[in-house]
Amino acid sequence: MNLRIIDRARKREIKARKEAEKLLESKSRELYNSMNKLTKANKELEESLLREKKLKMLFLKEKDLQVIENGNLEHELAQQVRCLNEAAIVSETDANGNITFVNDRFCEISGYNRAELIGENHRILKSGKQSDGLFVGMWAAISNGRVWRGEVMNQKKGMNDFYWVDTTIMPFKNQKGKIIKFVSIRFDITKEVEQKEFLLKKTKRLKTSEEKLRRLNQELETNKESLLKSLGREIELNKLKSTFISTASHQFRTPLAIIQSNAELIDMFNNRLKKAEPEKYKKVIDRITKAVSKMTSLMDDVLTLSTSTSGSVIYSPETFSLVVFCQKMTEDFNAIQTDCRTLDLQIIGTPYDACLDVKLLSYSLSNLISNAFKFSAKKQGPQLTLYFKTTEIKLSVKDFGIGVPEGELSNLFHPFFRAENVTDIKGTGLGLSIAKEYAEINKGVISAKSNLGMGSTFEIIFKHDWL
Amino acid sequence: MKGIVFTEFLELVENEFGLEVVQQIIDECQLDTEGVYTSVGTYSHKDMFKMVGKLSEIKEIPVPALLMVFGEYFFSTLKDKYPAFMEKPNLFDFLNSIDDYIHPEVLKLYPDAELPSFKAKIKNNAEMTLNYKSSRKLSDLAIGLIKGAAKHYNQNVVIEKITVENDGQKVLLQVNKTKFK
Repeated sequence: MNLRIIDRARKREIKARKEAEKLLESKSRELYNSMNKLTKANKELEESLLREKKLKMLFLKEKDLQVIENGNLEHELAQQVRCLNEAAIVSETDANGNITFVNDRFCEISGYNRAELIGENHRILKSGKQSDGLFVGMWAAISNGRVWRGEVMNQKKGMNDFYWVDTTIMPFKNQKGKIIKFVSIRFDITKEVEQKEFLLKKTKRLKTSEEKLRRLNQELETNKESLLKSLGREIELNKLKSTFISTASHQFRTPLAIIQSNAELIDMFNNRLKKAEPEKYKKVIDRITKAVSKMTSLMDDVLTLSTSTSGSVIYSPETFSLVVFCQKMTEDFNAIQTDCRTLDLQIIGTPYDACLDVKLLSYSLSNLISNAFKFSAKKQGPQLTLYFKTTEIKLSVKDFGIGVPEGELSNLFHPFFRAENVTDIKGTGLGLSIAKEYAEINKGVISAKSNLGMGSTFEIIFKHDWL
Repeated sequence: MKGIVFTEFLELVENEFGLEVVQQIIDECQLDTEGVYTSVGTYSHKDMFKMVGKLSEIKEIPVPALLMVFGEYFFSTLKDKYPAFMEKPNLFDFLNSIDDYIHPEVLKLYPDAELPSFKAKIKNNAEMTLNYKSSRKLSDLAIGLIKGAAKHYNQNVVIEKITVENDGQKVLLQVNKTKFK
């Protein structure tokens, strides 16, 4: 074999070896660097694992906080936890509810010291004033890993004092998902709850007062109504009184004037030297007598009215035949009529006896009949009709005279009222009001219908169930 | 190209044709490295083509045939050096793992390695296809390597180029198991 070729191959191999060694060197360096990097990364990983482990331990433990206040995150977290401890009432229990940690605020508000609480079940604080349902719901939530929040009333040490807390309970789990402890954060809301209760009570009181006020108001309203009614009556009465006084004085003045002027005439006759003839005296005295008798009858009417309105008329009903009563009254009226007119009596229905006060009825009815004659002079005679119905008896007096102006019909029964169209016809204005009063005492109802110039009809109805 | 290809190639040439032929190739190819290669280095693939071309010229053997022989030889070197990649129970599973497992692992070891894509598809128990894709156009070397693998798994196969695209940059290979050589 050619030695030269072998030598060249050997030289190539040496070169290749050196190159390989060089490559090996640099690979070694690379490896070394990688190794260093790996070590560093491993260290960091270990540190962060340790940190994580520490963080798990850190939660809320004061002494742990002191230890871990190095790295930034831990520092930040430690401060956060401090902040929490400053602000809130914090406690931890194991999975069975036995207390494993309490912060200072917890001790402060509960009145227990730490040693008394650690190891005790959280039930030690139960007030017993809240429904069991609340706590059943709470356990159901937190034992299933859910966060529970609610308002709880707790009992202080010494049994007699209570405090309210807004409570949040958070279950903590291990990596397998098993609950290992419960952390509770609470805020004292005693003042708020008391205020709320106070407000509720106040609202209740206010509601009661409001109800009372409403009732009072209602009463006032009713009172006001009746007051207004009686005020209206008073006004009406007042008006009546003043009309009565003015009409009455007018009614009395006329005969008085007659009496006075005739008395003066007598005086004048006496003063004359020559005595007057006895006929003149007789005439004057006649006038005086007439005026006095008119005044007497006027006084009678006024007295009658006042006795009836003051309630002093005695009502004494008796059973009698109305037909006979009316026939008698018709005969009496027809006997005294001077103008040949007669009252026409009609009876409709099957007659039966009635139980009424005869005196009162005869006054009311004769008043209506005499009016019927008086206001229908020179016309057809009036009609008296007696209706016997099953439910009522009706007495109707119909005339064919001057009638009553439409607007004055409603005033017809007021004392001293006289319609505009009767000024030429004598009267006191008391007859109808007395007729009405007596009819009403007799438990009847009086009413009037009229057509001006055609005549009027007055009716008295006695309903059976009123009698 | 990894130095191991060069060292193994020159070793094969030395074993088959003698040190003189190695020297002749190095002398006549005007290589950048003057024929100095170490398995852990990385060298220009052009040197390899020059050397294979020169060997073909000297020995009057076509390049594809040379590459196939070299591939088969190279496989036995690789399997001894990297037994971890040889854990698959049979040939098809092994071939199937090249693109998905072996090449990614190789890249971890040699980040500057330039590896062909070698998408595999097992059609049935007896037939699979491999889609060779590389700008190096060395599908013949790949066929040699597959042959080496088949020998390792004691499996007789027939390997065919089904389609050749882009002057050999993309070659679809079909591997069929056979009872006969």
